[in-house]
Amino acid sequence: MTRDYNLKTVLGEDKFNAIHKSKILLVGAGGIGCELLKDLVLLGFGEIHVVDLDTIDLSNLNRQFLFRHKDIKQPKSFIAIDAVSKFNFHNSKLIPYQASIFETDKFPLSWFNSFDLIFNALDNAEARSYINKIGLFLNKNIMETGTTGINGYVQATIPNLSSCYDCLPRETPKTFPVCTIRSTPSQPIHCIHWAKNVLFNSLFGEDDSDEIKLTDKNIEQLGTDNEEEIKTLLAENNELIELKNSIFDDSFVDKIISKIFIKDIENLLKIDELWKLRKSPIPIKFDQNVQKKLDLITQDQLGNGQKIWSIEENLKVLISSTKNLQARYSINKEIEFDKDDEDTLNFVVASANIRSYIFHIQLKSKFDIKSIAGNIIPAVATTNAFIAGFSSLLSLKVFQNIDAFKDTKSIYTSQSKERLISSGQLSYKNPKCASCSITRSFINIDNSLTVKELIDSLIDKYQYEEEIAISIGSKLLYDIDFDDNIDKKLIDLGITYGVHLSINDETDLKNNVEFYIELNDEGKIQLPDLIIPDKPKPIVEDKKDQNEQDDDNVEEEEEELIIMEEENDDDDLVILESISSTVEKRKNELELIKEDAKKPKN
Amino acid sequence: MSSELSADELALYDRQLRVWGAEGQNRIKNASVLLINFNGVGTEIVKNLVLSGIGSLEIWDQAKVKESDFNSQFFLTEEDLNEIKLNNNVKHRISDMNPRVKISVNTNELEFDDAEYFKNFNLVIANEIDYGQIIQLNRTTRALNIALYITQVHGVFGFVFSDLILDVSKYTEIKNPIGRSIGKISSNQEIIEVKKFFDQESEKVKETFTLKSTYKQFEEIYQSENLKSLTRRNKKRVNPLLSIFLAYIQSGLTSVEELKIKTNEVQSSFGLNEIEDLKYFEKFINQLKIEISPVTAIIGGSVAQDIINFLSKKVAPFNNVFILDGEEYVMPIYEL
Repeated sequence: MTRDYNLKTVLGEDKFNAIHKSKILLVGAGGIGCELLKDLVLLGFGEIHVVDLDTIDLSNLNRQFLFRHKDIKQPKSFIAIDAVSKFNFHNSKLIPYQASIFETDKFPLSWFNSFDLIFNALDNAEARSYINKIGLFLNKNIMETGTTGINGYVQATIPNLSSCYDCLPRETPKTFPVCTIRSTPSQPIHCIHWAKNVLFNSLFGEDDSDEIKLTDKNIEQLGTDNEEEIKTLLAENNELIELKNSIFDDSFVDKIISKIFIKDIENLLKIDELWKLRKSPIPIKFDQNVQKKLDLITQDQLGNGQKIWSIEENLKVLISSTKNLQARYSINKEIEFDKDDEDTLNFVVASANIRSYIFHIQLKSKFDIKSIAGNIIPAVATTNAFIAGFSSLLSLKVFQNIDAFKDTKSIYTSQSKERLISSGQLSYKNPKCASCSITRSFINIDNSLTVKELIDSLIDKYQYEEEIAISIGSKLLYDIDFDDNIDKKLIDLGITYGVHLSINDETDLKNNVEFYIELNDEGKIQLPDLIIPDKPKPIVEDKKDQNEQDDDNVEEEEEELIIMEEENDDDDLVILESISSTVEKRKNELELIKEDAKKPKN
Repeated sequence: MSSELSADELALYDRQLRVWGAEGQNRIKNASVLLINFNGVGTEIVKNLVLSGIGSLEIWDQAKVKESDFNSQFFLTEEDLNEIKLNNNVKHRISDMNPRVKISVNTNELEFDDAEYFKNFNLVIANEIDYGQIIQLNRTTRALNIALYITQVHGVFGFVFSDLILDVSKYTEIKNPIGRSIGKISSNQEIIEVKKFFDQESEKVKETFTLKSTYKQFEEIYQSENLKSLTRRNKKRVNPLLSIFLAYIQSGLTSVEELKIKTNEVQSSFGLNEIEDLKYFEKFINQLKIEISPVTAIIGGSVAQDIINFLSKKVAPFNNVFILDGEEYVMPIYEL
């Protein structure tokens, strides 16, 4: 058939046949996932498994072209597979899962091991990092992708050779000093942060999570040593709790306005120190005249969120959304902020804007505030198609190729006038990477045995000189100074199937090991034949100053995109700042890593 | 032009409005586009433009569905084999992605100099048409002041040309350390106004600049002097694929030796060295007219994005040829 002939011509007969017989995993059926699935089906991969936990939303339909309006609320993986099966011209076997990729009972290591290649089309760092580790455990190549707006990247991970997903430090979410948020905001984001994380949460969130934060030891986090200011902050906080207690009163919203937007501001104004170099805030007026103006505002006038509301319009929205939330609170007892929950969004938009008004900060439209408060990652069909295209094209080189490391490239979109992409050789792995510098393997144990039995077996099998420490993630289970658990059963310490158990040599001679736990119920501890290499000597950094300087320069040019919390809510991933600078930064860092890797080890 | 979108559009287009805003979306909504040849690249462009909410899109194609279409054309099913490609089912599948977009199909004879027909559109994309057709079409689009994109894909190789005639648009970007100044920035592009300002929100210095971009007609690019002024080092970096594409499009030659001679004529008109290595030509000819999905996705994605950049005026469109070498993974842009 011509369809086969064409592929054979471009890919070569051997590669075509190998792909035809292969079994691959696609993690994610969102923006990149839909595009990638289409490409993989049209290329004729033999068997394609697609995992996605999500269901379809209206806001997906501008780019996730396999989904229609009627599919909203349906599972992405199933609908995607149903849609591509109409053009499944090579009869690929297609298998969907609506599940979280972290579920070890559904997706044990053996299941991952049955795939020839893994494609990531994910939207969050945790899942990427998890798949990255699976790749390292199983020595499996991963095609990693991500997009933000019109920028994106594709990068293959060749385990233990190329840099892995964790080789580069991830951006940490930007935080603000408490005093900026509470007393001296200067940007819209400060007011949005305050409206969502302070005001909304104190009034409608879980009970008193906030009190502890301010009264305890965390004074240094406040970012101020002005005692008067601290006192005001604490008083404000306690009054906020009092305010919450009146949530069922009819006068609740009036109390909010008179306390939050008038009295608290008046109190702040008393602290002269704060306003020496800043423009003083002006409490709002809320009287009969204002009330009359509010009554005249119609729903039409408020529009659908694209225009910036006046102060009166914001007050109107604050009042109506508060009333709705009050009614809901009496049933639910706790309301979480959700950008797609109109009442919560309206409350945050209006209160953020009123605060901005008070502090002479530019007001923003509901549309724009939604973006910041909801951590919305911009996403377009074109870039997803483009990046998925490169992921599938590059995968042809990575697939069953022992020279994959040198035959493939990493690709970033470019906004230069001279090229559409910047591409480069894969970088070598970072010798300091906590994920890929350690030794990985599997152990099969009966977890009704004790910690002591496990430790004895480990010392015996791998000839550790003295003591070892075992931990899960950052949770220490046992070491020489902490033997409380020594006689406990492994199962009671959370050691179950799929757990990643770390073994550290306390004498620092042998490399750290991470074992993937598999279980038996025959009272056995089966340890793999494994030569644990010596721990690499720390690398002396002679050019440190130079490096630090470079980092500083990069830092300066960075365009920061501020993220207020860790989870993000979209389907296409995330480079949490402008990509061009991320690309630069990654490139610089990878250069340094390469330099390090080339240095002779003594 | 009002920039208020309906609540429905706001919800649907939310994630892309974060990129190009309501004004950008409205400009996209006002565009009337013609796509000639609904091949693999055409399929991707149609998908991307319809999803983006383009105003109206007419698709012209007379072909019947062939086996080889199944390598990249996902609006088709096995049942469409040997049927007319732009049949009702296919049209429905396209519309179904975004019913707001007016989709029409045209399977009549097409005259590339038919001004009466072309004046219905403000942007034309033509995939896989021959040299004579390109020249004729480009003269027509010039006369009617219509933007034009031309694409070709052969296996892992792709070529795109655009003639946006004259584009003067304002862009805002973060000021780089040196800053922009008024004057030519390349042979076809010029900055005619720059305003620096401090952006309160990002706390960065930004620049609003007006970029004037002049384009050439397709027939002119063969005589372009722009590559001649390159340094020797930069000349070496010109991908041989550029001239191979131009030679192939102009001549249609499919023998390795003949295409090599023709290509080297193009090379010398650009002041570039002759290409001796036959393997470029062999690979190119071996994959002629084959479309595979990763490559059509890359070319279709970048063309559609450039069209959106041009329409929405948020990012400057490219000027005026780019190629994809899908073996070396490079996509250079050449100003010819």
